[in-house]
Amino acid sequence: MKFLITLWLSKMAAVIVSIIDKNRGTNYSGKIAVRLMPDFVKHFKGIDYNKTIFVTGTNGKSTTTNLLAHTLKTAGKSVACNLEGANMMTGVATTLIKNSNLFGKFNKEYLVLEIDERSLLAIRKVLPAGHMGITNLQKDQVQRNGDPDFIFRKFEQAIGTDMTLYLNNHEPRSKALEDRAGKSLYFSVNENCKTYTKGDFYDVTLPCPKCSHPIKYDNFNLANIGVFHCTNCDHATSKTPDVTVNVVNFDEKYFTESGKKWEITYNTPFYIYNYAMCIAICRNLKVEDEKIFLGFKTFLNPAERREKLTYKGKNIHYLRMKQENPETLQSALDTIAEDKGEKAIFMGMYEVKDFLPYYSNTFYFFDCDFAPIAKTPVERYVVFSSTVSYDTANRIRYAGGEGDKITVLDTEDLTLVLKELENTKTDNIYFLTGMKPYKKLKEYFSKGGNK
Amino acid sequence: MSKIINIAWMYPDLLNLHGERGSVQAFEQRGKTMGMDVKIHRIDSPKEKIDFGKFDLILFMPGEIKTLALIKNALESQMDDLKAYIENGGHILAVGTTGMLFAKALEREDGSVFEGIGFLDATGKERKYVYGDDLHFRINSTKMEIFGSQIQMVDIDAKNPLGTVIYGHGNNRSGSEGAVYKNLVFTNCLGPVFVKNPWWCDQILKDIYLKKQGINCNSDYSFETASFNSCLKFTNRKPKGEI
Repeated sequence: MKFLITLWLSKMAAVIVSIIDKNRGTNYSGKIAVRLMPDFVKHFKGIDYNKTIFVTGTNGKSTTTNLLAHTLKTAGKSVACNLEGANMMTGVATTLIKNSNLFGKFNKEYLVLEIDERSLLAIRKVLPAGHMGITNLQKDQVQRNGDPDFIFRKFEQAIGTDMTLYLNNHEPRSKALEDRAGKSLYFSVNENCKTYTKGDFYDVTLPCPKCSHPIKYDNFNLANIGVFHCTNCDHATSKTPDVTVNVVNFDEKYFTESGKKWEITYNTPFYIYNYAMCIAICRNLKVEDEKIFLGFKTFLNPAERREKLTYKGKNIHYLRMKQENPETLQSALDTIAEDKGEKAIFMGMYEVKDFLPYYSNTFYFFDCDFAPIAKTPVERYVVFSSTVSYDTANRIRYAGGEGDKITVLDTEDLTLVLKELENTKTDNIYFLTGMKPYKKLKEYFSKGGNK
Repeated sequence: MSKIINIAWMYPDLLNLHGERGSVQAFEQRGKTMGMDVKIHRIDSPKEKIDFGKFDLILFMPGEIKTLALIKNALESQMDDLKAYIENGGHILAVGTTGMLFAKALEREDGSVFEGIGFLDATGKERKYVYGDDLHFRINSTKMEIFGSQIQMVDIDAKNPLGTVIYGHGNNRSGSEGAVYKNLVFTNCLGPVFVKNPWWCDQILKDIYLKKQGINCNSDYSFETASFNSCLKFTNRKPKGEI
């Protein structure tokens, strides 16, 4: 009875909030429910755990969740999903509240959920999903997560033999979870025109999650994702993965897999791994390839981090990154380095203000390789931030960027930054920031500030 | 006398966290700026025999706690050489959680205990929650001020701290930061710490260089330090306001 009362109150709260203020938090009803009843999620009826899929990992979980939900829907399945990215317990509760009747009966066939890494254990205790895709386990949000092993240990506790895992065959940490699950399926992407090797003196890899000895990579498709092996034990990329993307044609936006041609809407290596995971999950859920095709051909990602903007006739390639996440920064840097033409680079890295205490961490810049950018023609670098602009400038200098090309603006006033943009000769501008300046800039542009 | 400064970068793939490889680059770049010939040597494999006598400075950067057991095993087979290196004034820098390698013991969150090598008179206890913040401290011996960040996964009790906290958590919020034994120095400070604080990097390189040249730079600043503290107290006691 307590569950039903909590459910009704939460549903009522959702209705009231949507009438009063549509912009109020996406998971307000779930917050109320979990506060009143911490194990609220456990009490829903009619959830088929064999059709409940968690998607988690450091990078790519929002994209893959959206892609998977879209593909299943396109295939004619009814799907509930936390598309808004509310990926903790309250977000899961909100999704279930929205997709259940007044008696707490879940009213969809599939439940696809993006899950925050730190919340995984608690959520799985009340919602024992039968399937979980792990995109990768990388360095991220060190103020909360410390080091990757801290999260790895949490995953170890959450995974049971009643679960099927979908693992990145090229990522050593997540693949090391294979022995914990009842069944593990691997997805992989073959060497392609964007595959690269590393050999710089200062390059580092990581310790093997199984034996702590150094991991070596034969090549990379993304930062820390590629064909690998441990120098001591048998932990390595599987030679017989369940899904292998063979040929990738980035220009014509398709890849081949199992002898079939898959048309896609996004064409970066990051996306190819997400597509591969989606194929692995859908196939195991007996969704026919022909139906998956349709999903891939029509997918549009609401969480896309790249955007093209214009400012007074200049083209801006906007690259949004997650702070304290070296892989998203590296991915943005790689994109800039691919452009061999003259360019200007504007970088607005700010202090970390996710929760108290706020702090000025920029050390993750040194987990990334800035040198490939410095080797391309750069008219100027403009770095801006009231606190960490000098650290950004120093990182560029360490990578070989010439000091006289670096302009430091120790401000967060975007009008001053845009003034510098006007003073830039080239029309080819890269703008790299986190979410806060992105939102400010979009708001300014939406009011006509870019005309 | 050799003008080359040889630096060992220990297990870069294992001690790979928090961008501290940048500190290794800092030693190379700062050395070059000062006209020194700095050579960095990667020690990649835990199976590798280390010629301690070859190195003027040995760098242990931050890594995952679980790798410490493997590294300790690797060093234990050469413990006599390592001990001689430290006792004879060889320079070692250990940054972040890796400092626990040289401490007496670290109690893990699951109750197990990692026994460190024990040169530092310090013990640690793994925190349930990570704590990240800025860190500003003053090195006790030189009064040099250092600024960076810290990601604290272990609370530390050190008998001979490296410095005194001006802002931040330090070892355990008690005001002490890091630990020191002879020229074995441990700090929680990240940044990369020697990129953000090149003056510290320079001072270490200069000390090593002068020692290699046989120049005895007497660092007995006891009167000067006492004078500095007395004057600081005096100025702090001055009445506020205009004359």
